[in-house]
Amino acid sequence: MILFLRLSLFIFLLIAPETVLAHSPIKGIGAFFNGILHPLLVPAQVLAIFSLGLWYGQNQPTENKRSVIFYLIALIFGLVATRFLPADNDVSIILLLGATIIGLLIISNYRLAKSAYRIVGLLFGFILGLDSVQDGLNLKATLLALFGSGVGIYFLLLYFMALSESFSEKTWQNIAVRVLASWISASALMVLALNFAGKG
Amino acid sequence: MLFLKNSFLIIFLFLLPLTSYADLVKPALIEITVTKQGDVDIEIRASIEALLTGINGRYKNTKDAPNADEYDLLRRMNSEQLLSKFKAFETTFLNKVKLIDNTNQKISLRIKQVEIPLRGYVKVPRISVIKLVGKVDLSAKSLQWYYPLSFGDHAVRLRQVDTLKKKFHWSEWQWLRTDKLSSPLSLTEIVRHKPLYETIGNYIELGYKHILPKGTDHILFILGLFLFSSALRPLLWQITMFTIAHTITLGLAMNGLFDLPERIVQPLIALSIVYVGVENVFNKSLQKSRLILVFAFGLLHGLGFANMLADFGMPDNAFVTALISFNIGVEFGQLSILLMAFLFIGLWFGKRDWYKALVINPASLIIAAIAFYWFIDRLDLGLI
Repeated sequence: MILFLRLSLFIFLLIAPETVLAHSPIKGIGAFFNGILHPLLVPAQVLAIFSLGLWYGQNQPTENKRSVIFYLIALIFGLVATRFLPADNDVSIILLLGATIIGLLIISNYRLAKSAYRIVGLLFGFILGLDSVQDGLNLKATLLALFGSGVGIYFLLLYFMALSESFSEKTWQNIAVRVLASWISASALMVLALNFAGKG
Repeated sequence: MLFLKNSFLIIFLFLLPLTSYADLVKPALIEITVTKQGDVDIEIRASIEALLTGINGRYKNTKDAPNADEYDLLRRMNSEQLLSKFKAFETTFLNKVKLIDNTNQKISLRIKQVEIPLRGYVKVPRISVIKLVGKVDLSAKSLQWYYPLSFGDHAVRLRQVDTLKKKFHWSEWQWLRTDKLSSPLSLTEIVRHKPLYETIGNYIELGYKHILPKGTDHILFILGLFLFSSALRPLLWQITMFTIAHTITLGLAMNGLFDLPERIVQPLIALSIVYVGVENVFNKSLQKSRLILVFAFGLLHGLGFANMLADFGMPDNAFVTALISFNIGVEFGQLSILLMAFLFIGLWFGKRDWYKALVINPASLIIAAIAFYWFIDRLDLGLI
């Protein structure tokens, strides 16, 4: 029952934003809530967080808590760094590449040393923070939006991680997670290709 | 421990650029007195700083407005300086406000006096009193008041005074949030009392809105209580203690039996949130000391509610009903936060082994850091 409730809520959250508008705030809901929804509205971010959450959830999250702490610290640093960097930095390619690789790691069920999980957490956290630049807002709205993004990016990882952890007991569940991971890798590659095609 | 320190420092630095002068935008309270002889006296209790800068109900807080700096500059002025600024604005002010009778005759008004208090505690708006006088035709049956929306939300009521019989009668408050005339305020009939259900509905709504979405500090406090334990029993104990306590001080303060200045209450409310956040990290089970502290913090928060409610006034004929309704609204607000916290946090992570390390501790530290920033800000030491 609880799993059903969680899944329903999760699906609701995923379909709630009607349109995918990269870095575009939704009018009328305020800077903080726009910030929270931001990672859900940017394909590169949602793919990266989804892949990382699945990966952590499949690899003993209880013993790997530090990786998530590292992710959080790096995320805070990344968000703070946006205040000092130009608004047009495009790091989404790194996120898409990362999502592709993590997806492949999940599919292959390849286990890495604990330090690797931490390094990936640090890298993803920092880049996700950097990718949350909010332009065209006043100072207070920018800070609120960044704070909201931080909350959104962190909790989204935890949701994916919790879901993945719940789906790690039975064989069919492991297969389902791998299928999801293959979709993530494929989607990330596709967005990456579209990105390059658009630039070309 | 190093992580805790670093997190506090980073979040504190992150929040630093926010402006230090942050007043809630409060509605103006307008009382019109009309004597049997047709003399009209109007008292407008409003922030002259907000009037001069045009910061009105569009903004929850003065710092949300693009000209917040201008407001802060005026807020730092002494009474004489601000009065001289208002003098230049008087004609505009008189041209914009309007009092008309039932025949659409505009009543000529002039400014009799402007009282501007001392600078005082700059974290709350300075409420000045603008007194207007005029003369109404004795045949007038009712009056309508107009106060432009650009001056902000407001509430208006009318008092009929019979100086010979030494009797008077207040109308109900009308809360106006649109750019329209008030409803007619009768000069001849016994003023209709607002139906009880309307009073109950208004004050429940007021209490609810004071928590959601306006009461960021109360939201964080309730979230802090929830994070300590999402299990029903400890949560219920804490919420009950908090509710009983804030009901006591709210009732006492609204009856004028107990009060503390906002310059003391506001920083202490912020400090109570810091405490709850920090204790969440270091304490694992519910102890009596925590309940006593939550009770004490509830007493403080009740004073905060009272300060806010005092701005809106209470109906003389339904004081207790309004007070209870406001409290019910506050409870609904708290329950909504708890429900959302349960749906988005407790349901997902409450039983995970990593709940404390990855949810309670970081979230509590962030709550504590934000509240610590508020504490320093509300102390008004000029540090930030």
